[in-house]
Amino acid sequence: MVTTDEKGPLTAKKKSVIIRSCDGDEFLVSESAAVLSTSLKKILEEKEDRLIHLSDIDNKTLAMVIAYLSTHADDGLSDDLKRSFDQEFVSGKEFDVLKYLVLATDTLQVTCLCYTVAKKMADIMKNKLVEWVRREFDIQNDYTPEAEAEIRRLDAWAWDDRQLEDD
Amino acid sequence: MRRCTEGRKKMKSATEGLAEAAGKRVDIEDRISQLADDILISIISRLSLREATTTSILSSRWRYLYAYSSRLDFPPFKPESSPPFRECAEEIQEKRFPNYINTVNYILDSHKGSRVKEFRVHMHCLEGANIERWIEFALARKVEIFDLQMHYLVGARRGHYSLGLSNLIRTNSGQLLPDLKCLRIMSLSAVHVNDAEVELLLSTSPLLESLSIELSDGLTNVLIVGHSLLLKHLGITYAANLQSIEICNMMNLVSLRCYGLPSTYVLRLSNVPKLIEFDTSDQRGNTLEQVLPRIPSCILDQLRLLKLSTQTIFIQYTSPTYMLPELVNLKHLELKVHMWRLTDNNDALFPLVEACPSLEELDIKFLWAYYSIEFEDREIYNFRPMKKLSPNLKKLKLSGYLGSPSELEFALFILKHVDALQELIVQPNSDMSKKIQRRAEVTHGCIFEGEFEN
Repeated sequence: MVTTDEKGPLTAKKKSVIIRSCDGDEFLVSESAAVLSTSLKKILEEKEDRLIHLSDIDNKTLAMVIAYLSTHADDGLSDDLKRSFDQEFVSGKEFDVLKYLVLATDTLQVTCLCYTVAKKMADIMKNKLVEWVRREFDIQNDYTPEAEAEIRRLDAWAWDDRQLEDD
Repeated sequence: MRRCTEGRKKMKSATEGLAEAAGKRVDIEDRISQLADDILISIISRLSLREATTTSILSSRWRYLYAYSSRLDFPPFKPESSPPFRECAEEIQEKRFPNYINTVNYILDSHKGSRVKEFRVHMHCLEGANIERWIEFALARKVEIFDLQMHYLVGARRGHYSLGLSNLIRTNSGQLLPDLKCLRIMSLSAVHVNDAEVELLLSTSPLLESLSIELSDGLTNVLIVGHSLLLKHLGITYAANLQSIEICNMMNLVSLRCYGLPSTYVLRLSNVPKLIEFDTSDQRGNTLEQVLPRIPSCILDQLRLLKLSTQTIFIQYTSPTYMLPELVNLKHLELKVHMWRLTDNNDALFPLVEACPSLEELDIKFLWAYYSIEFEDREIYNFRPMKKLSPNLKKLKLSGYLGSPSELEFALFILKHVDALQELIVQPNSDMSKKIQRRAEVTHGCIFEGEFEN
């Protein structure tokens, strides 16, 4: 099912593309899989080059994205199978892994996977503290303490359990 | 695996075209915040409304993103009721409910998104909410799921709310707005809807899959017709003035819920080839012989799932000649059995189970009225063996189980006469005194001993 072929023969077959990660490893991908990424499709339309460098996507993340693209390019698989693949694809993955996946799929414009990963990230974020989210997302808090207090005051209902109750 | 730190810090020229195409900058640490708004909003839209709102504190990049959330599932208004009740109702009505409504309105005022896919409010049905505005707000943002449930509060002044759909969709110089084109699920409770509005709703919402209307006094004669409609699930419940429901040529209708309706109402069905689920599980105080004839005979052969509620009164006693209809394809039967007296028997249920030869799953919930009364021990009856009971019955679930002789007998009988049974679930009644609960636990043990002996 997965057609990633690390350090495989570099003689690019017809209808295949070589994608190089920022770690320098190369992956042989069928063109039908590659064009599911809007970004890759644009590049392939613009130039003849069958070798594409991705300087901000690492090996591990790229391998996962390619596995996804190859599965979705496989005409032999039913939509149901693809859906269950998607579910399994994100299940059990750590937040850190998902973070790189969402960035990679955003760069490559694999919209469907990007939203699937975003949803999974949201599921993990549920019931987490603000500090946890800031840390995991590497978000730099650029508010002054006064600005933070003002935001808490404006949306007090969300911070104060007494006005709206939920379970 | 080594992370690509170099790539994160500095752009490489090799992917310049690519990065430009995606509009990316990777020269700062906080790459997540550089994601397109759409993706961050899709993350936010998956959080509860409260959590979504608190993301504004993360950083200035996140300050207003929550206001674009496509999901507005307001936390349900569920004030804890503490005695004395009358004062409590007054406080809820005068203070806490208006606060809740103000907060909902404030959130709607600050919302900036052009799309709201989901809009849910669950609250008490009290005076002072401007639900017309909420409906207009949601429809104007092409809502897909609209769920407004209101519950009556004892001791408080009820609000009276109507859908007012015809006003809403004709506001734009008599033109139908395309607002209902995206609606997939609509669920209303204590919002009065009239017959014409149901037709309007169905004819202007091509994607509508599920429609549930509860506690609407406006419904009298509901007519639902249409070959092309996608509607799969329909529920019309607790409509006090309902006289008839007529459904024809609904090619996609799968499930139908009709209960809490006047005893004189008529249900007419024709050409509903996919209808396999019928739910009349909240029809209080009726015996099987009152409930069963209400199921239109034309769907008896196609039903797979049936939900009923019934009294335990012997069918044979009230009408010895009454013939139960055969439900040849029914796989799953869910029964709510109202138990009034401890000496009630469940014998009446056996003919029903017998009438379902394909039954695989039987789910019975005992609803006890006088559960604080001590049981009188009496001998366990021995039912005479009948013809083979549902040979395919694999799963039996008894909930609300109190351990009365009749419940025990019922369970033992099924165990003894159904060979295919694979799964037995007994959930003791949780809503009762310790002593009674103990009784339930002991006899609950008896069932499993009985099973062991077999």
